Amino acid sequence: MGRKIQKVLVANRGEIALRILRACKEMQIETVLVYSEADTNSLPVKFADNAVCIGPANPSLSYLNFSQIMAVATLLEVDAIHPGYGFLSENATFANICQDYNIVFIGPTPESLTRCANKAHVRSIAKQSDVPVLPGTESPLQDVPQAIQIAESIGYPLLLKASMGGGGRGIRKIDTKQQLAELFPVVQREAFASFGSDEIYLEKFLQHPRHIEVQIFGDGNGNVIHLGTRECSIQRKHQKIIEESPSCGLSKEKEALLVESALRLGQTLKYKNAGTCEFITDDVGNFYFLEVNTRIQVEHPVTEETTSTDIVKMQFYVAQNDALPLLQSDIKQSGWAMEFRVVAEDPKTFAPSAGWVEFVHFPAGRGVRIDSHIYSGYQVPSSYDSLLAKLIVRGKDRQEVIKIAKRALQEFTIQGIQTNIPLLLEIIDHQEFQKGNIHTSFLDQYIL
Amino acid sequence: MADEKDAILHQVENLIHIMRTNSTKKVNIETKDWKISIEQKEGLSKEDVAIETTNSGLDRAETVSTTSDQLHTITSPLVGSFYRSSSPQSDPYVEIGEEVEEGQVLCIVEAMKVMNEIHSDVTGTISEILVDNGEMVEYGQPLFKISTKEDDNGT
Repeated sequence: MGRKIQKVLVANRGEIALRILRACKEMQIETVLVYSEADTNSLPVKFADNAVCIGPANPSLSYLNFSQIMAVATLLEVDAIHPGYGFLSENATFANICQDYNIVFIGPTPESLTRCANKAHVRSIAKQSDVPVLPGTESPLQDVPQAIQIAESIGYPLLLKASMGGGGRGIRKIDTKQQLAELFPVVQREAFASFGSDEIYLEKFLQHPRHIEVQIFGDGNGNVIHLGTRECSIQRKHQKIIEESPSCGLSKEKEALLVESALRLGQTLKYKNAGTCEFITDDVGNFYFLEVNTRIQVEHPVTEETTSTDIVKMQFYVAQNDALPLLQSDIKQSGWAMEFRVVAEDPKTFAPSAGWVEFVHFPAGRGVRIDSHIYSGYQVPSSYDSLLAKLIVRGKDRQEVIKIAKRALQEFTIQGIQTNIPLLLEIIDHQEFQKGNIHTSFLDQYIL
Repeated sequence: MADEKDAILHQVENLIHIMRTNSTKKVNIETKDWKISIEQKEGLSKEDVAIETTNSGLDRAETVSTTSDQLHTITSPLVGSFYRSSSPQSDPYVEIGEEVEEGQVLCIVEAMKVMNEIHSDVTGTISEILVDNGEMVEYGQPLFKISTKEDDNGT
């Protein structure tokens, strides 16, 4: 049984740290933020009730430093730790340590994190739950001859993927037998370097799929609810740029089937807290399960805006009560929402653009929400990801959202560093985007 | 602007060096844009330098403090509880005014039941202890000031 959370440690930075701190303030929960030297002048440090510097900019010495974070947690006697996304959010070992110290880890159980981290393993669980998966390998690949044999039985093109992978790394497209033999050791090495395991597997490659996901919440006892679908098909190099809720790529019937699949998988996993079941769909609406993301997602606001919920507060509720805060029948979806990730990069070369934000003006007005940690005079550190702000737009339907988004992006002013705002405007001006004809290689096909 | 300020500060450093080697007590320099006064205080090894602007050329008074004894700061390499002695019964490792050698243990920072001994990385005299016994310290937090003697004759 959970216990009342009165003081929480936020083990993250940037906009998500701010998002969690804001929710805590509204819930009157005292906050402790841990931060690195590079974030000394950040808004989360200013807004937290307590802030403790735990190390230098290098994440492995600060935001990933178990012992320093646990030292702060025990010295300041927090009840719980919220890991945000990235960093320690999907780290089973860390969740286990929290348990040992009798501190609530706001997320899934360590067992669930371990299970879902192995993509090949969770694929087989999905298959057992009658959730469609792409044709591919059921167990980790042994060697090149075996891989070639499996590849021929499925047919090219294929994706060679790291079992423990995520975030778009450790993935290669394979078109021929020669390529498979060549890239097998490369992906193995990449997988080991990025994820500490050289386990890899094969999966059928879909041409121009849509990426559609379902936000689920579980109580850990097999009760699972969903907050509808999100579509994240606008990506560059497997990194999402624009997300929307609901998806415009499914018929009502297909959407219902997809959501049911996600719920079934969540029930089989006895999933606890917030999770996302990712699927890809082909052009005739067949859908295939990809993986479970065991954390709050960057794109969670589009779901909040279409369901009038607060996903961070729901995470606290589940962690505290081992129960769900809402029944499925309490959740009403209405309208449309889109999120635009504004990142610090050269819009033409995509090179990251760290430096001083000399001046920033956020758009406002009807239907506009900004989740951002930047301010005029903020120094964007080069040690972390390039996300500057999330522009979230809400409207009655997709057409209205696109109109509001366009004027909001035109109002958005960031001086001093380069951003992808011109690219975002170019995308939403595109006819095919406006018609909803989107897929994960949209950018390569139409824009770049 | 910034270059001009740097150039002036550089000149001030040179002046201080000259004053120290010649035991000069006080220097005033005034131009139409700014005014500098440097005073070497009696009995104190500290000069206070004030640059005052008399017109818009430099818009802020800057204070530069230098000491003939170099003050070295020992910072905490980790988060934890700061302890001045190895156990509640023992004497503190160091007191103010005590001479310490490079490598000598100055305090303990305890994190997760592990006692981390913090060593001095210089030889000198403890001039300040900045944290109370038992307090929590964060990464990079100053713990001690140690004065390291410099040859006052300049060579």
